[in-house]
Amino acid sequence: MTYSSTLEPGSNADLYERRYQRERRARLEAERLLELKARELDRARNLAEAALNTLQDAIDSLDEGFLLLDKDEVILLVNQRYRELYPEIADIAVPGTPFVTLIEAVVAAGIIVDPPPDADFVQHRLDRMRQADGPWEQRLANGRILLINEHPTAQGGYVSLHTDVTSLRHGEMQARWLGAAMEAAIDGMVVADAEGKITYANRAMAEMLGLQSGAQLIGLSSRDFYAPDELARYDQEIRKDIKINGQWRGEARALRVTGEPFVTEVSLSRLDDGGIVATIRDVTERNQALEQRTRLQEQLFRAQKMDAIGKLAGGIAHDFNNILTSMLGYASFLVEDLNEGSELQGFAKQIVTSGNRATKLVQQILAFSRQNDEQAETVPIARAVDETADMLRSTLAKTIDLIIDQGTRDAFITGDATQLSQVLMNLCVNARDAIGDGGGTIRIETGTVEGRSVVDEHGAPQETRSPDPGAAPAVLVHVDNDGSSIAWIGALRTDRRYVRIAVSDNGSGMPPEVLSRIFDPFFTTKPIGSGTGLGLSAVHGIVTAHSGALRVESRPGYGTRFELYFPAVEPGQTAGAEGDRFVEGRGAQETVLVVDDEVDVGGMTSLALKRLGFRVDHRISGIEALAAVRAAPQRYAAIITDQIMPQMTGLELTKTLRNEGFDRPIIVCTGYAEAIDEELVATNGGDYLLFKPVRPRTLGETLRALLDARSSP
Amino acid sequence: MKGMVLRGLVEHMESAFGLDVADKVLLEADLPSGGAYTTVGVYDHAEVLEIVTHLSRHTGVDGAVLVDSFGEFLFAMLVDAHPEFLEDQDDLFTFLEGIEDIIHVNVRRLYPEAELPRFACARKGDDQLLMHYRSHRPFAGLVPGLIRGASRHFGEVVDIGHEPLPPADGTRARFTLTRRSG
Ligand code: HEM
Repeated sequence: MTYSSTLEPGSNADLYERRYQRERRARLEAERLLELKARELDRARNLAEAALNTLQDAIDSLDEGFLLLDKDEVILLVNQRYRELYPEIADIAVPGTPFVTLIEAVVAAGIIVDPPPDADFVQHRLDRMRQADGPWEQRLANGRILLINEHPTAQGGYVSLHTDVTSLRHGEMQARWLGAAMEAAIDGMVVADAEGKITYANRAMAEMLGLQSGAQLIGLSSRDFYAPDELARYDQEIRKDIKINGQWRGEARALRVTGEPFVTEVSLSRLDDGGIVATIRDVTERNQALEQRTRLQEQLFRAQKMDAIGKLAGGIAHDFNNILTSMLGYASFLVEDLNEGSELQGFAKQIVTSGNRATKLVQQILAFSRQNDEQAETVPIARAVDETADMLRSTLAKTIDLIIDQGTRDAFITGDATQLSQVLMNLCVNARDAIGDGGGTIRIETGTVEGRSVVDEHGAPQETRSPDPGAAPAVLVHVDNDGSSIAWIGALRTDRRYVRIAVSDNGSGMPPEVLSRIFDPFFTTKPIGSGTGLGLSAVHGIVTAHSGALRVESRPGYGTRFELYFPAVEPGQTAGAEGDRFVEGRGAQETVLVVDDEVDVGGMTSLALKRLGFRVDHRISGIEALAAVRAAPQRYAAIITDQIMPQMTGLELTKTLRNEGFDRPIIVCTGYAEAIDEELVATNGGDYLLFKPVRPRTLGETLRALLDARSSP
Repeated sequence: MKGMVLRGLVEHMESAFGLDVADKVLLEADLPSGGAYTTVGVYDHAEVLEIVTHLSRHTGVDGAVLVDSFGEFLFAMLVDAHPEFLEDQDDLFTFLEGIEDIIHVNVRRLYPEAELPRFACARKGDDQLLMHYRSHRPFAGLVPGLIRGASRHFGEVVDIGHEPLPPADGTRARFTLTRRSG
């Protein structure tokens, strides 16, 4: 056997060496490949790890709880949020935990309250996931509401997403409550975006504007509902206010869909997104009520003022009246005693004329203050109007037409014809002044009308109870949109028939603020010196004294219309006929006792009676008079007594005398008719009531009539 | 081709014809790999054909016979490597029907670089199974040996009919397996 250093081909050594070399190469190759493989695997693992981390990061950044299960329903991936949602089971909410274990732990921990965690809960829960029957909600014991969304993966596992919808659901609920509350609100509410487009409006808002539902307003501009001048104010002032203060509150005139304006109280608040939320209240009614209240207060105030002035004026007038009575009396003696046609008699006559004028003025004051000394008689309206018209025609300028429209000649009232003429004159003179130099028409209309229809159709105040003599008459002023206004004085009874006398002109008319004051005493629109200011307040007083009412309607530029309402009576309704009462008033030397605390008045009366042929005793108090009568009961044929005296009034004297059996006529005189009327005089035993100033002629005629009535069988 | 198959072929060659012959064949064949195979490597399937061609020339045995016997050897080797595929299997036909859907599907998972054939099976009566072979490589000849290996494993005896299909280059064939009763 030969061995060589080099292996020969074909030799066994050769063979094994080649096989060994092949194997070595294969092993090196295998190592190389495995090394490559290992690196490849490393890379793959890194990639996989990175992918897994990315995935974990991704699911950890989710707002939803995330659970990935493999096909065996074992947790593969779970995020932090999931553990936060279910903190009680956080320690087992990790990869590797079977889902069923998780659910069992959830039930054991009492985490879920709805759906109820009953015996079938776990099975139902698993079925639900396997069937992936759409999103469903689960309510936890801690109050949270979770929306659960599950679906299968391509690998046969499941993905489970848990979204916390608590605040969403609460928000929805709150939104629903809020919506319901806003819909139910009485005030209008509007939300507008930054461009002013309405995004929400409640029902109250819609109804305020004349629509049915807030939805009709959505998309419209809130500017559509305000008048242009209000929009200008908004752009110039309000917008700035909101910008600075974030809000604004005030009144604004809005427009209904019909274009009708109405007053609103608005609160505006800026929203974060530049929009505005507005609360709007319709204050039309409230303002009207406020206005009415203010007006009533004004009226009450005015009435009280007039009452006070009336009392004051009445007091002064009473004193003045007494002075006038004596002045006129003495003056008339002068006229009688002085030589007919002498200069002195002319002066005396002038005193009487002036005195008479003064008496008239005093009568007006008394009429205003309701110290009524009116002569109650049945006055035919037609004749009173005719007479006034005759007087007027001579004084009116040619440019003024006077139209008399007598609806009836059969209307009568009880009252004083003189006062009635005075009222008509007053109204016509005012009408003339309102017409001015330009010319125009004064129209006087008469007619009768039922109280009921005036109340119903013309809104006249209704007299609901017997008038309280102390209560001042109401002056209601109604103002219309066209500037015309209406005032009512006094009230009408619906069960009565009234005579209506209307005086209208097409003169300048009066604005409401003037109309509301024209009955104030001393109020005048005329230049100083051209009027006393008592004109219309006297009208006021006279109408009220006649139980009447008065309506004035005026519109600046169109004219004024006065309507007087007096209770209508049948002719002859008042007791006694004129003819019976007024006879030749001459005395037949009967002795008359005159009682008056004012010496000059009593003296004047005594003188007048003496001139008429009576004998007169004058006493200056009731006490003295009583003593005189007691001393000589048969001496006096009649007694004339003043009412207002210190210690004992005229009526008290009368009553005492009657009680003591004095049966001759007693006449009571009063210049101050505080609730003294014929009836009161009669109940105290008096025979007649005379109002001061008493003209000697009237006194004489009255005395004569009473004496004659007694002596006739 | 997986290194496992080539290593098996070399091993089979060495055990059947001796180290001497195997060495000569590998030297002559002048293979790109130099005949140094590792189970984790992948080699050109043409090396299989080279080895078989040179082995046939050296031994005078027909190449087809060599391939056939290698098939039987290969099966034993595969079972050795992957006994799990034969667990719970007790019937040859059912096992063969599962090559495509069960065995080779999982083989591809284990060795993504493996180049596997496609099989379509159909039963013809209780005792006959038709198997259609289709591959990108001409290894239809390996099939009867593999089947024989399998039938030996199950203790069954089948006659195998081999019917090459056009283009008759070993990439397409139909095999008819008939159980021999008794
Ligand atoms: C435990 C059972 C089996 C295993 C683990 C297995 C695995 C393999 C592997 C790894 C290859 C190599 C592929 C490559 O390297 O590219 C292969 C090829 C092959 N196998 Fe299987 N096999 C099995 C059973 C069978 C059976 C029973 C048959 C036939 C009836 C068969 C027919 C084939 C054929 C013909 C090839 C060659 C490649 C081709 O034709 O393209 N195998 N097998």
